[in-house]
Amino acid sequence: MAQVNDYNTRVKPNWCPGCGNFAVWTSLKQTLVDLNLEPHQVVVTYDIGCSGNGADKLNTYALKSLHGRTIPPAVGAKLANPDLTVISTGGDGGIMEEGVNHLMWAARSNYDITVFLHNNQRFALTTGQQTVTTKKGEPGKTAPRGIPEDSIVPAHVALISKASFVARGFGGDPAQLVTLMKSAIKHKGFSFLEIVQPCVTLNKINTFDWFRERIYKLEEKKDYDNSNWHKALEVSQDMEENIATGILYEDKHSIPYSDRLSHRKDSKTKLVDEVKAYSIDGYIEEFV
Amino acid sequence: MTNQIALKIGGAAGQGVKTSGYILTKALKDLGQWIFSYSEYPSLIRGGHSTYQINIDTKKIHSVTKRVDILIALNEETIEKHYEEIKENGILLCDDGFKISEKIDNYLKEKKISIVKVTVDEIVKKNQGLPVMNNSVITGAVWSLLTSEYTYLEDKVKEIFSEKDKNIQTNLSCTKDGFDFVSKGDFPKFNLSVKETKDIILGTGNEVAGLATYASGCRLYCAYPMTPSTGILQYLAQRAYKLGMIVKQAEDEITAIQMSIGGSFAGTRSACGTSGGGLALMTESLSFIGMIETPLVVFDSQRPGPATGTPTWTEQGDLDFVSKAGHGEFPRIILAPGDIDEVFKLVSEAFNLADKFQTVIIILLDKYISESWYLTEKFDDSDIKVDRGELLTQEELDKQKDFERYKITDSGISKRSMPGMKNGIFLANSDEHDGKGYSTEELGIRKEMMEKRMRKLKGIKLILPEPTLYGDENAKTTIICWGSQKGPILDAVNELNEKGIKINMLNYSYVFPLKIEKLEKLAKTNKLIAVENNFSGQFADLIRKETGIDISDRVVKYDGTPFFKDELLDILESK
Repeated sequence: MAQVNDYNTRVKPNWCPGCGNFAVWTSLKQTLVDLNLEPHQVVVTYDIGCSGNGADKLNTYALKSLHGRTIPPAVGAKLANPDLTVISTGGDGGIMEEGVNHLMWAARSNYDITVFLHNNQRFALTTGQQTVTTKKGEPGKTAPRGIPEDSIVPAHVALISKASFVARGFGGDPAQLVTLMKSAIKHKGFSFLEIVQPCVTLNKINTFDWFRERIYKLEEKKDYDNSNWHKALEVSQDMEENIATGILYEDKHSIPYSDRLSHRKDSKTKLVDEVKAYSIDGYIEEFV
Repeated sequence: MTNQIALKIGGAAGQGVKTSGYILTKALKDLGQWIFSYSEYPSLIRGGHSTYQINIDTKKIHSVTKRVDILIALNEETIEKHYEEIKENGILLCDDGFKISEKIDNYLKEKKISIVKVTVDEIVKKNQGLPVMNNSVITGAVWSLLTSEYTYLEDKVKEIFSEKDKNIQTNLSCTKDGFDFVSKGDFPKFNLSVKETKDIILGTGNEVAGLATYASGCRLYCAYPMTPSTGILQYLAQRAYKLGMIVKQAEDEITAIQMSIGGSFAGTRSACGTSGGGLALMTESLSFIGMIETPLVVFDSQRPGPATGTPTWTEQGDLDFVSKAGHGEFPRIILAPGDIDEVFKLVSEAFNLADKFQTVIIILLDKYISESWYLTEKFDDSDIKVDRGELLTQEELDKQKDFERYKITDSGISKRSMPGMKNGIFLANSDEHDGKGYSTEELGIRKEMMEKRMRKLKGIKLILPEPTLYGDENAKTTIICWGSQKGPILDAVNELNEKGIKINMLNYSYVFPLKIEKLEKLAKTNKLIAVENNFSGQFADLIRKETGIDISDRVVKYDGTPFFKDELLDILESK
């Protein structure tokens, strides 16, 4: 059985001291260990940015994509080999801006992959420009008088795109994060976990303390029914006053993409096992 | 009459031009004729002018002619647009109700062109048919000009209409009455007879590309619809249930290529396809492939650009672009099949080359080869071999000590593992990386990795074959050409050789990186003429860049149509 150490590489993390990425990194390692997964059974794809800089710090098969493109190669890998546990990671810049269409289409297709969105409300690696999740009016390097656009809540985009599992975690609460990561990975179908994760260097507004004062846990609300999609939409929208964490929505009857393909549903083999020369008999007759 | 017959059907999109053309194509094939069919249509669903042309010959051909023996007009516009294409002593076949202007009538008389006026309305009315059945009457009438063997046509009408038309009997009687009308009339006839043939197949480049993709063991095909590449996606998607493949219509071209990359990274064979505009969107991903060294086959079926251009027409305009597409430098291979036999062969080779060199292989098609109907001998799939290159088995991987996916090697090719395998973990990293794939900004490693990747070019150049010389070996004039235009050029060269004119052609289907040995030899003794379906002579430019040989004599065409054989004969005879 794999231990947490097996998920380390020889590369030491170089995020800023106190960065939320440490908690995500540690939580993910713990999650994979708890799920009894061996490093070679896991594929993690990364985007460009501070989250992507974790690509060589976690010992699994991995692909660090172009900016915005963390999701499509994850889908391709899962389609090719459904035995793999496939996790796609990226920031609010990559997943919510450059590649937001991929999030929407992957959600509606219900591919059996998990997306972790590191939301720090900033383009951090490029030293602090505002993103689509930055609150309207907040100043940033490319909008010194405040960003004129409205912000968008990632969980909303996932929900309206028919994601069958939507959750929100917090970089300051690794214990909850591990629980959410496990649920997300175990979910059959597309799962989306937004991790609010303060950038300690470039975001002096949405700090750990700022979040701690505003965050509450849905699992502590006895009457919250996470099978209610409309409720999830309502609860998830507040990113200012009362910020919900936990499983916002889960479709327990979700049918993943591969099971929606009648010709692949009961396949005993995987696409990766099927590469060989195929006879054209049965097809060439159409040309005769 | 002559052994070579060209017929063109014209009408409004939606009038059944393509259906009539396709029925005639299939029936002529069964009759044992060598034919080649090509269609022109606008980027519209209804309305707009479209044509379908069939050239018939006694030997295998891959071209159409500008001038036709029979013009079949399903509307008056066709007559106005195309009457000057009818050869002297040719035939115009149309509805007896169509008006022909005095000017055109005089022209037809002057050229001794017979007009076959078919009483279409009368026949349809008699059979209580629908207006859309006009083209069945016309199809029967055309067939009667070509041959007296009615049953060959009847079989195809049954085959093609049985699925979509409940009024099959009415269609059949309309066809028969059209046929009888002409056979009883005093019209010039071609009297084609039945020829025994065996194992001849009919297919478009797109259909064959789809078939070959499957036969080569590709299990994941991703694309976003874009004319004229969509035929590959549709061929595979419609048969996916039987093929067992996953055929994915993605939300855009970037997703299509990235998904295929993910599939290939995981270890299956995958491919994607698009046209020039879609390839432009895929460009960053080509560069990504160069960096992470994941095999991939990418189809680009070209159409005239720039921008949206003319979506349903043809051009060889993307060579320059795809030979450089992607930022930074990395090795790539570009293949451009010249007929469906080459499509079948090169597609399977492309997958092996991709696996062997762990890079991107671009297959350049265009509307002409993608959507024209080629006849050839049945393919032999025993020629298809799957070679996965340096892909390790678990057993081999177990023997590796401290496996490095991106190990520096003399060939530039490193051994590859598949996710899920023990002992093979790596990071496919778009950042510059070390042997494990871990990011590095150590400039010494950067330099070594760059050299490793680029060393693959040497192996690629060694393995790619030289171009093929067709035609009179002793000729002192050589046409330099590539890709789909091999068809019309080869037909023209053969015909010139038959006339005793000494000319040959050097055809490239492995176009990049460029093989230069044969070319340099020929350049010393021969006059070279580049013939290309684009504005600048992009292949000639590539030759100049690679060899310094400047082919100044360039025959180029960029109006959206391919080279027509007779047009080429005129041009080349004057050279």
